[in-house]
Amino acid sequence: MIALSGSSLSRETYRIRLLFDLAGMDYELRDGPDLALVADGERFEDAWRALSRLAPPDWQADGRWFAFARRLAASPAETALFRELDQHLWFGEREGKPFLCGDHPTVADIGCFPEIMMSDQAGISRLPYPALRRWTDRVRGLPGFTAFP
Amino acid sequence: MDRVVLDEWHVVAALESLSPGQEVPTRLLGTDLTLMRPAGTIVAAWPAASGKALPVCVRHGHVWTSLGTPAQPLFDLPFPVIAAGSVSIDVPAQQVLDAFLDDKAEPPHPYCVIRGKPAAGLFVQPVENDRCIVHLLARDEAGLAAARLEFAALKPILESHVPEHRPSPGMSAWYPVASAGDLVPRHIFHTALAGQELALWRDDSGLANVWENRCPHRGVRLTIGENLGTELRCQYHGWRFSSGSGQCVGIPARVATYPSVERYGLVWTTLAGAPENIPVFDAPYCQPARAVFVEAPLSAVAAELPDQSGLKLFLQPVSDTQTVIHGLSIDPAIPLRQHDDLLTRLRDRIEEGAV
Repeated sequence: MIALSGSSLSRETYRIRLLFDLAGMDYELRDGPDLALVADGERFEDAWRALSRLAPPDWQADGRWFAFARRLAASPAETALFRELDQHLWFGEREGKPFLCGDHPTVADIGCFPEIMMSDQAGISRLPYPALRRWTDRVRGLPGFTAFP
Repeated sequence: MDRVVLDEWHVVAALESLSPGQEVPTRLLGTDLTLMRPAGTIVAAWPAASGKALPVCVRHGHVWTSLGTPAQPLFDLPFPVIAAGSVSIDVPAQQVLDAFLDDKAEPPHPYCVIRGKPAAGLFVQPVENDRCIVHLLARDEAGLAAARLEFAALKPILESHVPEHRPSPGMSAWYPVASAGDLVPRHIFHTALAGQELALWRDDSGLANVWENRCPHRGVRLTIGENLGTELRCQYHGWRFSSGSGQCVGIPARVATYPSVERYGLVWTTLAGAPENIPVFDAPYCQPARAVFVEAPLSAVAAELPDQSGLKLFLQPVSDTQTVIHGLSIDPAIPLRQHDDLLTRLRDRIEEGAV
């Protein structure tokens, strides 16, 4: 059993909830000020470590795009990152890779999703990034998807 | 002023902001009002110019009034809220609402956003066209600080993003506004032409619609709605608009539509209703490269366009400061990556020069 507590308004909590919801993992959620996660006796305070450690095998991302998600979370107003992602996804669409690491979603998609969906709050319109907008449609259409509260 | 808006209940103050016995001025839809709270939850409101009493309702911790005649009592909320502070902001009410509406929200009132804990949402008071007062809500004392923090972080961003729609003269030409492949099934594509925001969507029969990105009801962006296959659904009040005509289903309203022609793998339109004058050329092979968005005016981009064999280039003026380069590969021997490298390098060079 996994026990998660954190602020429902925090992106870190949302990232982890997205993984659990999309991968169909059981967990218990409590509202609290700081992120705290206990899974099988192990305690996590870092959302990224939790994402990579707790993701089932088919949700594991390749290192490049997992690192990209961490960069994006650290610099959510960096347009160069939006451009890089949009370009990657545009070519991915032509190569049968609708998600960041290929044909199925991984923790790299989950890692990027909160910053992309909330880019307006960082002053970035998604209008110049059409492939990115199509990708957000695909993520939102995944079974188990929950919107940011 | 729209009758529907006049007849709506509007929030004008947090009850606790009114000290008993004191007259408090405020402004609603361009009209100066005076509020007065004789005692308890009894509040009077009147236009400063006339002194004639307006209908008043005190609920949800706030004072509501109307410049017309409300058809219904004030809406209910699923849980109690308390006032978390009011902030004046130089941004149209609709833009604040747009920023706070999320995908699932079904607001009980056009100027209200209700959300989960701890920040419970906000009521927006439309002061005039380009200014509003945001009344923040919390569910309990503990949520007050969170509601304020969240809004404080968003306010400067909202204020810096007032869209300026300045249609340029001489817009009689036809422009590409998307690649045909951008309009995937059930998607709503978001772009702009000369400052006019557009919502593009392909219906299930394959027809490409080019529409103004505004619901005629409350001006909400249609790009946050849903492509239902034969209709586009505005996510705000669920109004649905038919593919082709833009006619609202069951309600006498229509979205502004623009002509749409698909040619050479691009979707073309015109804002000025000009007769079709899409460039004509003969290309047995024609494949859109990735459209490249440049932060520079069309004139600056046009001046730098290379004379590239194997690639035809067309420009879409997004706004006075932004341009999209649509490239068409006409040589099957050149991979699209190569065109993309060329166009992104070109973009970087132009943007460096524009700075």
